[in-house]
Amino acid sequence: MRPPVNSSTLHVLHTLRLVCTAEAPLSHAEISRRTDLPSTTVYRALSTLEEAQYVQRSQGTTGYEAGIMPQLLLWTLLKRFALAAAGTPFLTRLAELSGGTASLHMRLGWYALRISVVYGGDDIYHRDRLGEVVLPHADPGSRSLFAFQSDDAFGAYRKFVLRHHEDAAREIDRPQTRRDVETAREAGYAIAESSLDDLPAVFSIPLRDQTGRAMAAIALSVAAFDGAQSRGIPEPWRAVLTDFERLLAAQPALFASPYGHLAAEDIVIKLQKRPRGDARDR
Amino acid sequence: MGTDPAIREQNKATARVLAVLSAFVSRIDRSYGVTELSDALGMTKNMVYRAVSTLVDQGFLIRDASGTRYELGLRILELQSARAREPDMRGLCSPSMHAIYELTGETVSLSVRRGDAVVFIDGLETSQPGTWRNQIGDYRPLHSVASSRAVLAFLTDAEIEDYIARRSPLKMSGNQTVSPQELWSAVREIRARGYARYQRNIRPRMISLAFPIWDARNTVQGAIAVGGPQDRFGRDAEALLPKLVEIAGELNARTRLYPTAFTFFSDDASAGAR
Repeated sequence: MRPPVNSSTLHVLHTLRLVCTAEAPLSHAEISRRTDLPSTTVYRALSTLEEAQYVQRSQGTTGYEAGIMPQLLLWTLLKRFALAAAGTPFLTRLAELSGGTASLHMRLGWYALRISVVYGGDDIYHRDRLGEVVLPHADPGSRSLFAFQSDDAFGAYRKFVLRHHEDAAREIDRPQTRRDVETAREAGYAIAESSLDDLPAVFSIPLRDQTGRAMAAIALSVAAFDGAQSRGIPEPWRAVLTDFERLLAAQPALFASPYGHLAAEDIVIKLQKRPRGDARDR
Repeated sequence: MGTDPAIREQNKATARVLAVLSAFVSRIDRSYGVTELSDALGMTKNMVYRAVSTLVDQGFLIRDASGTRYELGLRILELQSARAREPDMRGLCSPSMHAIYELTGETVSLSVRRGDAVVFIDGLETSQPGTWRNQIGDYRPLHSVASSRAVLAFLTDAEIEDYIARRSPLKMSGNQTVSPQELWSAVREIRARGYARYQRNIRPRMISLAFPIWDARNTVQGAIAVGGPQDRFGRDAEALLPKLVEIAGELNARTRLYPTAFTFFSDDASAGAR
């Protein structure tokens, strides 16, 4: 028999979720209002969470924000993907060559999870948050995971998105999405080029297993340059990608996921809204 | 408030749930069993079992492939905000800096490597008379002080040789210099100890200890250091060393997890060109 869950613990975990996902630091009163919990309960919950470093007071405000512990747990989780460490030297070379942000996305059920990020030397940079979970068809960086999969998988993916993320499903059926997939398959990678000069171009380059299915994707967000679409991937970047592909061909176990024992259908994650004005909110 | 024994007991139970979850930090290759958790945390198996059940129920832990042990669950991924800033070196090191200050009462500093120097980016200054000045933004060449030597020592031998060739004569404070032989012997000592201990041999006599800060790529990013006058801190430093090593070890368990990497423009402008 399962032991009964302590209601005070549930209040604390609820408060934790609220503070961690909030768009700005939350005051004690605001937390009380949003959780519908009495002020004294919120006070106790925050003290317990603060003591354990799960939340902290935000500097210069009276609000609370996520503490270091959720980050440490996230980093531990990401480090369990063997590809994160193995890929970092290649991401570093790509970031150095391009000046942009290089990141690595791994399949997690039907989602893509950003497991590693390296920032290049450009002054203006694209922040690709570590640990972000996205739907591959809706995210330029991991779009190649959507493009490079079998037609069967495509159907199952569509069904999954319809069931759990209905808002995002419409985009799958748009003719433009179909055309993007075809273009990506011809080129061997996907690219999203912003129509605005000051937004970055995003390359999504698939890392494929022996069957040709994209298991992971490199996203490279670089300052838009003229004709990124027509000129394609510059030769020096290509050399780095070839080295990475060679490593993966020799060590396919690097694609293994620590969550491989879970069925894809059972992995359902609440997606977060990107801040408004994000370059990829299209 | 808080005096009701039932509420106190509930708070303790909640703190145990968080402690069980926190135990999974740095636990990368292995899952945990209930007995193992109970040994590690000094809780009864029953307490651990209750905490684990709550965490599984809430998705923060899941059963591993064997079905009998536990590992981090995917709900952890939902404890992040798209707007959250990633913690930087200062944020990560701040609790350790405070812990060292509380332990020693002496000035604590945090520095990071930039090229041939370390730059001081944070500090806590003692209120006792006579101390190092902690100037944010100040920098010191890699051969010169405890903080910078803690970084230099963990470069490769070839990198150190290059540095010596590039920077000789190696100037120190008070118009002194350090010979390459002396520097190499200091490097060997730091490598053997795992941290730098530096004693200024001109007056006022000062002593400082600097601990390297390692990142996920197994390179040293900077150093956390504490120091004060020999008369006051000299004896304390020896007695407090085991505790200081422990604090530095805990800090490194965190910084070694930090997976985001940055590349910087080097002095060679072509390095950033495309």
